[in-house]
Amino acid sequence: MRGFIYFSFIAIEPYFFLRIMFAFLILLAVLFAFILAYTFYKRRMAGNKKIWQEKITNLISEIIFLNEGEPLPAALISDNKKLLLKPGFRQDIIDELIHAKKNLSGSFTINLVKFYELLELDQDSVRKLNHPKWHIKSKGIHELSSMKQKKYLKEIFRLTNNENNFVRNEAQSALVSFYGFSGLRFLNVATYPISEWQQILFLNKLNEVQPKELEVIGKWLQSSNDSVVVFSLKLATNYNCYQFYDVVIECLHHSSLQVKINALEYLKKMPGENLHDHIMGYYDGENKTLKLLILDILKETGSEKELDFLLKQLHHSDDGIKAAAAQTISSLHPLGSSFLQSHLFADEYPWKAIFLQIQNDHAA
Amino acid sequence: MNWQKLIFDFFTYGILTYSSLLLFFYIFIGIFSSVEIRKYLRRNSYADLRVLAASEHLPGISVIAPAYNEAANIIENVRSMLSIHYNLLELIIVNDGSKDATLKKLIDAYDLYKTNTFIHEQIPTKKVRGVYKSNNPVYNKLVVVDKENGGKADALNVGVNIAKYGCFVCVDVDCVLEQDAVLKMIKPFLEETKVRVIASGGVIRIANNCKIENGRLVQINLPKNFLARVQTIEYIRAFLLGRMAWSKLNGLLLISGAFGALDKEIVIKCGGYNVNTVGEDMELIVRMRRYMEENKIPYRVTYIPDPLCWTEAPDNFKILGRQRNRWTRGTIETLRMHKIMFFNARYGLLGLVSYPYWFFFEFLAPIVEFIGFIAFLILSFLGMIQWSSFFILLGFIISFGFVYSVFAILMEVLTYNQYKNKNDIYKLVLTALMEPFFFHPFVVWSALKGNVDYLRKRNSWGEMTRKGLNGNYVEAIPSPDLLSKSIEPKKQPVFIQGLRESALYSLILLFSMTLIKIYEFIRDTQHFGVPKEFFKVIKFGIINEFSFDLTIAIVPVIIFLLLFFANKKIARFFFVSFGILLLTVHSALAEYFLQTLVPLGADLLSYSAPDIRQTVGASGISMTFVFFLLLLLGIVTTLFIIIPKKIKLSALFAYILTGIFALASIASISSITYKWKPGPEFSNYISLNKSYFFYTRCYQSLFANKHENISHNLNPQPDPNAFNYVDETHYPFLHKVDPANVLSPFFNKQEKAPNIVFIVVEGLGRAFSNKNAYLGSFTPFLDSLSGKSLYWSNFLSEGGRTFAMLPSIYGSLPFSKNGFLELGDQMPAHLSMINILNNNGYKSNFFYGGDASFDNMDKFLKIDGANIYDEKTFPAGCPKMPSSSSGFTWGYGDEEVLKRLNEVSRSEQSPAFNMVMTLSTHNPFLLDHQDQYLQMFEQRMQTLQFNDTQKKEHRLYDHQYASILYCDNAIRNFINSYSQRADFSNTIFVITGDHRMPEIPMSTKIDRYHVPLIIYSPLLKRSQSFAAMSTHFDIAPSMLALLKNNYNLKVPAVATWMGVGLDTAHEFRNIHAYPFIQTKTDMLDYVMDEYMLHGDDLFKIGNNMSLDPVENDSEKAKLKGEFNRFEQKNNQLANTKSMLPDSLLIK
Repeated sequence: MRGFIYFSFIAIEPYFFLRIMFAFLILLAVLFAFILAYTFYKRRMAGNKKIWQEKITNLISEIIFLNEGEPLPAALISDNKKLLLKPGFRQDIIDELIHAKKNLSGSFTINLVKFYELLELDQDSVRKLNHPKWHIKSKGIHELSSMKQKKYLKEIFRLTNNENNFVRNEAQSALVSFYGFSGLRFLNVATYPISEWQQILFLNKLNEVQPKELEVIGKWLQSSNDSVVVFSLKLATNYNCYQFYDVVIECLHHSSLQVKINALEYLKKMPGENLHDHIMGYYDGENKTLKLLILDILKETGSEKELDFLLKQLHHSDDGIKAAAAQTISSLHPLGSSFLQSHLFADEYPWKAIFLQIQNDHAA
Repeated sequence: MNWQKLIFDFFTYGILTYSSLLLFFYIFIGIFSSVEIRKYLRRNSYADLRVLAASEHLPGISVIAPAYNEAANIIENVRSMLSIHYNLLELIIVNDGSKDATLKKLIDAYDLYKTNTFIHEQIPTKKVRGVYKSNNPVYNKLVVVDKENGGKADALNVGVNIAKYGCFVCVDVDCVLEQDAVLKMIKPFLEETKVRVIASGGVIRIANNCKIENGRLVQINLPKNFLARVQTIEYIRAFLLGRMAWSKLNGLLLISGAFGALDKEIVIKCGGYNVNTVGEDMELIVRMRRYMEENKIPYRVTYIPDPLCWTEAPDNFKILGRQRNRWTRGTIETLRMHKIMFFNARYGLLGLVSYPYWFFFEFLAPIVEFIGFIAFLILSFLGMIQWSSFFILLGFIISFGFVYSVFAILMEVLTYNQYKNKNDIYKLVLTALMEPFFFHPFVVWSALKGNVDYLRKRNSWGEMTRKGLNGNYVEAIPSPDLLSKSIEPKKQPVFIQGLRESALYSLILLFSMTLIKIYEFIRDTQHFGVPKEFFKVIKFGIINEFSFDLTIAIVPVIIFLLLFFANKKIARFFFVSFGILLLTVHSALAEYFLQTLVPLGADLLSYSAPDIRQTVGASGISMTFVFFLLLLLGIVTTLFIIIPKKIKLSALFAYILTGIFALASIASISSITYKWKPGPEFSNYISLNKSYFFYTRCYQSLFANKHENISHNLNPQPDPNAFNYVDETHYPFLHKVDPANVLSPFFNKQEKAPNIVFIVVEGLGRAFSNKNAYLGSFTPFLDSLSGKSLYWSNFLSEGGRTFAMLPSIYGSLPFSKNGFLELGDQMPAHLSMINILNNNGYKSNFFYGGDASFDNMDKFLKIDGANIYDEKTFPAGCPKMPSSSSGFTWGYGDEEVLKRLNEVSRSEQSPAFNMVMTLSTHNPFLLDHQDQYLQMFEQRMQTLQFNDTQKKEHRLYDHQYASILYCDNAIRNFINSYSQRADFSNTIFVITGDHRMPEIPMSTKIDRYHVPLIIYSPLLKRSQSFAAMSTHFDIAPSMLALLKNNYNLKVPAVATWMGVGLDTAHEFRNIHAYPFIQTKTDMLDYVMDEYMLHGDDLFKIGNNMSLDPVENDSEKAKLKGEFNRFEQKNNQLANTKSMLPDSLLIK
């Protein structure tokens, strides 16, 4: 059979494709067999898992109702000695303990931790922590963190500035889980950016705890890591830290937009004496997002003194700014929204629509 | 390098490069995606989003859902979206000027009131009629905007203008979202620290047959509908394997409009959604990316592989076709708008990889596929396809598709494993295996239509008819334009409806028949070269085609109309079936001619099923033909289905057309145009309408003879052969035998009766044998043998096929109705050389390489008392002829058969009468050492001093000529071998052809019968050649006369010989008057004096056996009269099946 001579230096025989086709068909059969084998295995494992799960649930329900200080019955281990040698079973226990701990609180969780330690599951987690693969390492951290294994602080802290962001995030989260605000000490050394998502996670975890050593925020506000500054501003806002007002004012001139936005959010909540003059002077050089934030601050904290500035903003080229300025005027002017009706352009677009909406909002 | 080669190379290299790149991309993307998904799953395996969903620290999100005529499900859909887990969320439903009660239903269900809201129109949109909010604080997240209809893009733009948060999620209102969908979608925006995430896409999954309660997906099921199921695989492939990789490469160009999150600021800066494209989702992403690239702002477009959004997929071809059409137009529009990026390094990966990928492999893929298909069709028509290679490549590419789909299914199983039912996997895999055959061609077709529609500037979205996720059908509401244009069709009488439909069907049929004729022309020209009188061939071919089509069209029209009154569906089914049958026969007849070079007549009716199987098996069925036929039937069926939906003929046109059909049929215009011929015989055959020929011959075969039996009286003229009949009434052929003995003067006498060897060569025609053969002689040995023999150069066979050979040569017997052998078990007792020689102490043997039961040869030989040595009697280990493509072989080659004769007859004591019928020169002309004979063929052409044109013409039939050379050589070896035997000196060899091989085009009607006759023997006193005409009928009488005279053999004084005896005149003349039978059903030829009658045409025979048409009514009447006389006698034989009285029989 003549071949396809495609290029002067390549001659491909059709049988070459035939061979590849057979290879594909074999691969197809292999893939299909693998799918079947895998689903079979999954189903079988699911069956095993179900039995194990029941066992684990029974164990957990036994231990959570033990009184504080009451030792965990040794039978719990001896009865399941063989099973406890199985890595799969041990992992299932860890997962179930973490799951139970998330859904429980108080003394119940103490017994769960005790049980975790009794079975030396922490050793399993540490092994993971020391594993070179990032996803196993971060899983180990997650388990130790969930089971409050503060004794591994040193190992975990070392990972708070790990080059892998998932390992780093887990390590940072673990510290916050262990020590709350104090756990944020990694911010002193954080060289990698802390994502918005991570910051939200931290803020969620910190919500319940009122920290004592807030002064450290001042140091973080000076950080060369922009994300640390942003997060510090959020912390300062969250904990109503008036003491950082001056530093925050300086942040308005930071190169990062996010820093500026969070600084304004802080100032909105904690206005200083000369704030309005400062931000009105600052206003012109900034972008629309910041302008709207400043108008919002004025709306919340301003006075009649700012009306002249605001009336000028009613004629800004951007309708969004017009609307925000009008909103602020209606809040600050003694006549409220009805003042807007006396405006020279009150019957013209877009002022008419803006003013109508404001009236409507006021009425609601 | 000529231009054909350039084009061919362009296609070959181009498509190879293209396909290689495409496969490379697929493999790369598949592997890359699977790695990325694994990473993603590991990253998120223990993330607890439950707690976060309620966090006040999360940024606000606006969900924008445009709604147009969604009244059926809007309440439920909104409820579904309101249940999304996210703290700071606003849900903006944009009612895009719905014509139904969408808005009212929303107002009522959610207690809405109209607010005075200032909309900062950062993106220009159609007018907003009102903004609604709910009085019920439970629905405080809900904002409903009512606006004038402006399309999906415009509605989304309004949503963007109104959205109060910096990030928004666009979603189709009928999609069902997972509860953590928005949180997962916003996550990439918040996780990224180095660059700005401008958009994030989510996976769309198919919700058909899934259980949805209160707007929530409660049970995932695999769609039952094939189309939906195949889209499930398609979506898994696209989302799991495709987009993940592009996202990682930061080359994602498309985020589905059904579910995606976008950065509002960038969207506004880019001007929002483009209302002038149907692919607004893709266009916006491309524009946003372009904006970021042009402003050199680092950015990413991310993608979440989690199944977060479930939507209903089209479950019928109509809607699917519209959807794919729209997608194609969207892609073209987007690519065109941003063509500046094409291979533009300024846009980095976007310009150098993403855009070109979309251009080449998304936009061009269906076009390339289509062009490839057309090129393939053309190449296959031209016979340039190497079928084995084609099937290998096809298998290769299809198997790659299978692997890719099954790999996607594996990824699904390993990752999200949504379809947990055990059988679902089997169903998915099975669907994947069916996809390339049932789904892919349709998708390509829809994409092509999209291209066409784009060129025609059709820019509508196409109506989408949804069943609704609860399974309720929603009526599609036509767009205002359609409403204003739509006209209520008038109800027409059934007859007119039927007439219009049948006329349209007939036109499709005529078109398809013409298509086949064109195909036939191409194939014929390709096989046989340009025929003589080419333009006349085309002209008369087309005329014959149209006249036949017009004549026959009335038949289905009438039946269709009758059926139409009873049941429209049955009527349509009938027409389509009839059409397909007619077209299949039309194509098959064209193919038959291509293989045999003669049009098929009523032969089909006369051959037994095994004979047909054997003949067809020998030729093998051309793959090109099978492919063409299947393709044609596919196209025609599609045309029959699609065209009546798209085109309606006017009643007037239908009337006119049907009238033409009726007139054409009444006037039988085919029978008129049938006579219009280009001239040369082979050209006549090409221009002939094979279907007309076939049907008329079948009709004549079935009905015509009966009429003739009644209408003719015995011819009062004296018998043209001057036979002295004994009892003409009872035995019409029995006559006294003329004692003339023309051969004796040429033979020396011996005491012992000689051995006789008859070699009848399959297809041996004078056209290519012996001196003055007009095609050049390809029988060098026979040529030399003729010089030492008695040689008749103007000799004729009695039949156009082999079936006439035995009775004509050995029994000089008439044909009966369909050939003497066709009488089968009713074959009457008769006289023949075989039984007469046996009666004189001879032993008769018949040697044949094939199965002697073919054509009932064995029955004839058994009746006459010959021993049969056919393929069943050959010793084991004797090699057969090579098999044809269908695995068929006729049996043993000539060399083996002649060797066998030599072996068997060597030990014979009594005089032997050995008869050989050869086979190697029969279609499919396959030989052992074929190359050697092909080389001999080339050498022979050199020897004959052919010029290049002659060589080229002859090479079209190189296998035929090679087989002739082989046979000639086999006879040479046989004679040489035989010459070593002691009995050689007392042996007479008779060599002739059974008919002229039709697989090399013939020049005249007589050419088919023109064969040589050689009588060679060491007993000959001298050699002599004779120009006088004789036929197979003359051999037996003359041979028997010779034997009677020289050896006193007992030969009956009365016999039924059709022949008078060989004419040994030196000059050209014809003293015989004989009929000829071309095929079992075609007995049309009669030769008398210097004339030949063929049907109604009279020809004068020239001295080189040329034919010239003549108009000579008296001669014609004379020949017709004699022919009729014979036919009557022949019919009598067919009826009585009696040749001679028992008393004369040799027992």
